[in-house]
Formats: sequence, structure tokens, C-alpha cells
Amino acid sequence: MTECKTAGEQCIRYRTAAGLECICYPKREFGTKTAALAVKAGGSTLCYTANGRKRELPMGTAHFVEHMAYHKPWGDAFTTFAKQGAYANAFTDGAKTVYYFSCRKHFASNLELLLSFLQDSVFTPQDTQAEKAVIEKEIQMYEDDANWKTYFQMLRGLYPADGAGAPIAGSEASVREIETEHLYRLYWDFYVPQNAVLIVGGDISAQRIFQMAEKLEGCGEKPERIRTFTQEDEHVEQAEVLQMGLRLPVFHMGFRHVAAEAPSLMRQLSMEFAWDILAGISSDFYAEALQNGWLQDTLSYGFVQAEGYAYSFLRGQGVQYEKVSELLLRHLERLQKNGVQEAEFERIRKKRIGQVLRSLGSVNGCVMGQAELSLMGADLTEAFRLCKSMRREMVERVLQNEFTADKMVLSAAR
Amino acid sequence: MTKRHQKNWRSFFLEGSKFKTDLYAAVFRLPSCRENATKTALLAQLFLLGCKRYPSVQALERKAEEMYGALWDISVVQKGAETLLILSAQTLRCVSKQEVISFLREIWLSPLVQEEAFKQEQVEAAKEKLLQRLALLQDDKRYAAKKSCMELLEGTPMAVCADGYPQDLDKIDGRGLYAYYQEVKERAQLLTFFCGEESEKQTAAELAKALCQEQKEMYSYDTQIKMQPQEVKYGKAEEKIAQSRMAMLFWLQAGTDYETEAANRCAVTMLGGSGDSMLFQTIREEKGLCYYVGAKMIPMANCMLAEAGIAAQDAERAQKETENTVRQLAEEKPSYTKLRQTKSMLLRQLEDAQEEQFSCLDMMVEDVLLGRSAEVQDRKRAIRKVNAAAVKRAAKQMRLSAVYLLCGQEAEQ
Repeated sequence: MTECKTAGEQCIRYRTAAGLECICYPKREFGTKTAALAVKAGGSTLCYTANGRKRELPMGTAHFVEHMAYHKPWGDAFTTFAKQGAYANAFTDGAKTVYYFSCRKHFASNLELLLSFLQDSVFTPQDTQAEKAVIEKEIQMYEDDANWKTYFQMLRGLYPADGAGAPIAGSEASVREIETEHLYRLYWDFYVPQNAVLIVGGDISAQRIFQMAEKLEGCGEKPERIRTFTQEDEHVEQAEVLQMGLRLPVFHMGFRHVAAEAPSLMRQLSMEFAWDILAGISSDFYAEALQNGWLQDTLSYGFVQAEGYAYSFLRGQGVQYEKVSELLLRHLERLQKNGVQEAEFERIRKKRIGQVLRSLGSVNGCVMGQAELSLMGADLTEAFRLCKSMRREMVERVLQNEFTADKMVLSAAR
Repeated sequence: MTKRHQKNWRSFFLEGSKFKTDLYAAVFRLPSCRENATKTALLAQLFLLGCKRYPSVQALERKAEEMYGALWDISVVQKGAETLLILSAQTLRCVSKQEVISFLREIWLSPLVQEEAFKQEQVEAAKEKLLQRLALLQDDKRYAAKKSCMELLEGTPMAVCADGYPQDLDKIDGRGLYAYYQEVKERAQLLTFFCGEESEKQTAAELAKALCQEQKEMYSYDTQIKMQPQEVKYGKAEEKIAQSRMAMLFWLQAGTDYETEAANRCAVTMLGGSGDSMLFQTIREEKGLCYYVGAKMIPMANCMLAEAGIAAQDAERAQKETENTVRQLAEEKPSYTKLRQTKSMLLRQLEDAQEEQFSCLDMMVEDVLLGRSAEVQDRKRAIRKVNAAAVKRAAKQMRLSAVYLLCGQEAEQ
């Protein structure tokens, strides 16, 4: 067990005998208790080896399992959470699936239920068929979401030959392909303690949680993902403009970065600093784009890394998306050439420290913030320390080495 | 909570020592009316662009970053028959109170003005931003269906869109907008809120004093929207979308007291407030008609919005199922277990909201506008008191008022 204290907040970590990593943020002053179980399988988990055998799954399998994991031999876990006074939900992204609940009473029963997601979910052919109709409707809903569509089109452009660009929910055709055995395949291979992280926050006893988590038994070996995308195949493909009848075009600009062996917090934070300096609201790029009327003010950006892939993106709205992408590259070149001003860097450091402290300041902020760090083996207290110790040269190195114009894809919808 | 009343401003303190941040909010109360909707929305956009001391978006953001990434905003919110212009900032506790107040004061009281008019280039930039924002909102099909549904209730404040109207923008210039700004300063009641440590409770009053200027006769406010006895309005449009969106509005039993609100809230939650709700279980799980379906109360409007994403050919069925579900709740007493679960869920939501600064603020604003005690215990007591008969009564008084369908491609097939 390890314990860290920073900025008045405590983070306690523990790994069970079966390999489940547990991270607790005790917060005595709050009544709400939140727990999340992050399983390291997501939309890009399509091809991997487990126990020496190569497995392939249809697109959307991990997301399908997310829908079905609530089915238990004794009934519906979702309803049980509600009956036990908990609000429960789940989401799947490219690399992970996260189940979570928050409650004020019956925390132990709810936690037990959450942990059972690693043990006894049941997928029957009838339930699988019925859920296909629901997921198809979900996919139809995404079809109208220009942000969603341009994001995944960008990913397909960045990774034209592999699963990193797969839509999380799959396509209507791939969902029709999914059968009960695909669900069990992924469930048995990935829903094991050594492939999951349990995160808990609130007025809780970390010792009690670790005891409960210890009851989970390990099974099988941790699966090893096959990277269907290789370092030799680094070409990107430009995307076409989607015609969606929008009043205001939406776009994503993506940069493919070199994939590291494993995701790291230091890389994550230095990329986030770099993006703030390059394209944040206080940046010269943003000021110029706004001045020209090329951007709406709801700009966002991020860096995503997982085993085998790494990319960053900028999302915006505006008619002149091509000019915006040219402008961004010009400002990138300027920063690569001239470096970052010390005052600017210090301002961004303050902002980032503020963000981490905000996360640490609330139960949901801790748990959901930690879920985002779960693939990096890091926690929020480390994020705080690294923000404080970040050096300008590190961010300059990121700007110089991580971004190249020929690894950029522009994906837009009109 | 403490209150202070002095002329056209009131200040409120919310205990928030458990948070790492302080929250400051200045709420300007405006009667909701069609003719001022776009001017109010435009004012918010204008202030986001800069002021004398921080004359650009970049300068404003740099100042916010200096304050450890302060989250500040000026936004327009519709609450029943009122439109609220809200200037807010959330900062880490280590940031000086005076620095934050002075920042907000600069934004509100020192805009970029030239000869009794806002600078024309700023106004044009704000118009462009507002136009883009409206286009973006309209591209959100769920929002579009909801807005069009509300617009069917013509003649009620529900039909006024606080986000503004593109067609009004040509008629607004820097001088006219400045005159409206002066009017807001002089006539809108100002409510200020501070959520932080007890020892700093005077900060809300300091914020009010910093922002409030000499005032003339205050606007008169008619906060509550009353049910309009009229026939059900229907609307439909077709767009290039994959999934159709249905929005339905129901009037609820009128009343601003905690008891009426609690009964309405229980009924609405049982109908469509969770994955365990009647609408979700019937329309999605049993009939498989949609991916999402739910119902929620529209704040301070005595109104419920039910919405679903469906295939166009299923729209009529989904509408009928929704009406049947409301009828079922009105005819059959909810089970004891179901009611208990719903009440504990609402109590939990209420308690959770107390642990989130913006939610605390939102609840407090509603209480102040409706003249309620603003005591969480009163809200809780009202929820605990709701019984099956009260839920049945609330469901019985639900009146369908408008149905809107935004059709997708299936409609054309």
C-alpha cells in the first residue's frame, strides 16, 4: 500500500493479490461516495493475443459488452443500483470501458455489485439480439453528431490501416455481426482483476475497500494486445468533407504522434502544456483566428495515448477551417523556431495547477480525473507534482519533436 | 445562509468551506420578453470580447490564467418568466477576493465604449459570434426539436428563446445596445452570491456594492408561468438527419411551494428521470422504439419536457406510448417501493447538488426568485412527505400542450 499527500489531499494505492489496482481518495467532508471500475478494453480492442492465441473481434464489441455487463444471473444490475440508491452509468472510449456509480447510502453493497462486473455477467443470445436494436439506434444518433463523425473520420485518416480509427460503437453492419461468443471472448479475456483499476472517492475507509477488492480472484493471464498498426506504416490519409447540412461547419485537426511503449503521465502533461501554449484561448493563434472571424469560441483540444498509438486533436467550428489549419501550422512553426516565453509558460503552469486542484477538490473530479489517468499507472497527486516541476524546455521539446505537418489530418463536416 | 436586502440589490452567502474554490456570481434579473431576448444575448457575447482594462479575449483569458485558471463566464439563463444575465467566476481559494471582484467589476462596468455607444467593431464581432453560436445550437438536433416545441406555445414566456434570434441582429447597433445596457444597470435587480468560507461571507455584499450603480425604478417581475388552457399544438419539420427527434411539453400542476414542486418532481422522475423510469422501460426496453427517452422538469416553468430519439415511422407510436404512460401514472397508484426509490433518488440528487458549487448556486437562485426559504431541509422535508396520492394527483394534472417532430431521412423513404 502506498500513500501520498499533496495540497491537503490524500491518495492511497494498493494492488490486490489477484492484480486489481485500487486507488482511493478519502474525502471526509463530502457525503457522496463514488466508485469507478476502469477495464482496459475499448473501441480499439479488436485484435490481440490471449493465452497464446490470436483473437479478432468485430468493431464495437467492447461497447456492446458495456451495454450487456449489467445482465447478471439473478437479474439487472442497473435496476439494482437504482434500488440501492445509486446513480450508475458507464462509458467506453478507444482504450477503456469505465463503469461507475455514486451514492450516499449502501456503499458497500453497491461496490460489491460494481466489482461483480469482473465476475459474473451473463450474455444470452436473446439479450444479445435485443440489445443490437438499441445499439443500432445509438449509432444512428451518432450519425447526426458532426463532432463525433469528424472525430472518427480524423482517426481513420490518422490510422488508415488499423483499429485505432474504429468507431467505438462499431457500425450497424459490425454490430449485426456480434454474437454472444464475441462478447464472452472479450469479457473472459479482459474483464479480469489484473486488467482493471478500481477508483473510489468520498467519505470511505480505504482499508475496507481493499479488503472487499481482495475477495476478487484472478483468472487467466493479462491479454497482450497485437498492434495491427505498425511503426513502418505511419502514413496518414486526408479526409473528405462530410456533407451533413450543417449551418456551421465543424472540424477536427489531428496529429499522429509516435506511439510509446506505454502511456506516460509526463508525456500527457507536457503535451497538454504545449497545446495550451499553441492553441489555448490566450494563445496568439487563437487571437488571430478569432480576429479574422474564423473560429467560434468553443475550441477544444486534447492528447490521447494508449498502448500502440498516440494522437492529438483540435476541434473547432467555423467556415474557414482550412485557413485555421494553415494558421495553426504557422504558429507551430513560430513556436518551434522562437521557443516559448517564460511568462507565458508560467501562466499556463498556474492554469494547469488550478485544474488539477479543482479535480482534487471534488469527489467526482477525483474519481473521473483518475479514470483518465488509469492507463498511465499514475494518480492526481503525481499530476499536481509534475505540473509544479514542469520545465519550459520540456514543453519546447514537445513542440519541436512531436508535431509535423505531414502527420496532420483535417476532417470537416458541412 | 444569510440574506441582506438593500434597495435594488440583495446578497447571499452559501457555506462552502469544503470546496477548494470560491464561487462569485452576479445575477441581473430581467423580465423575459421577445423584444429584448436578442439584445440580452448579444450583451453577453459583447462582454466576453473584452473591456477597457482587458480589451480582448486574449487579455481576459490571460488574466484568468494568472488567477490559477479562474473559470469565468457571462451567460444568459431562462428561469420561468425571467431571463437572468449571470456574471460568474470560480477561483481557487488562494486567489485574492479583491482581485476577483475587481476583475468582474472591470468587465461589467468598464466596457469598450465610445460616445455613449459600444464600439461598433466590438458589436459587429459580438453579432458574428452570436450568429455562429445560434447556428451551432440549431445544428444540435435535440436542442432544435426542444426549442421548436417551446416556440409552439406562442404568447407564453416559454416561447421566448433566451439564446436570441438571428433576424433581430440587423436592427441592433452600438448605440441602441448601449442604451439597453444602461437600462439593465439601472432597472434590473441585482442578486449577488458568494460560496466560500464563513469568515469571508461579506464578499457577496462587496461584490454587489462593486457592481451596483445608482438605480431607477426596478423592473417588475412576474416569475411564475401559468398554465395556458389551450388546445395541443403540433409542429413538424424535415431535415437531413439519421434519427428523428420528438419533443413533447406537458403543463404541470401550478405552484411554487416546495410541496407542489416535490410532487411534480416525483411524478416526472418516475415517468422519465432515469434508466429505471416508466418511459425508459416501456419505450426503449420493452418496445425498442428508441435509444434515448426521458422526461425532465423545465426550471420554474411548471412544465415537463419529454424527449426521444426515434425512427420517423415510430414517432406516432412513441407519442402515444408517452401519453399512455402519463395516463397510467395518473390512474394507477405507484407502488410503495417505486415511490420510496424515487424519493431517495431525489434526496440523493439534492444532497449531491449541495456538494457542487454551481448546483448550490442554481438552487439558491431559484429559491430567491420564487421567494422560498432557501433552506435545504425544507426541500428535503417536502420530498419525504410526497405520497402515492400526491404523485397520482400530479400526474392527473399533466396536460399535453405541444408536440414537435424533427424528421430524418426515414420520413422520405
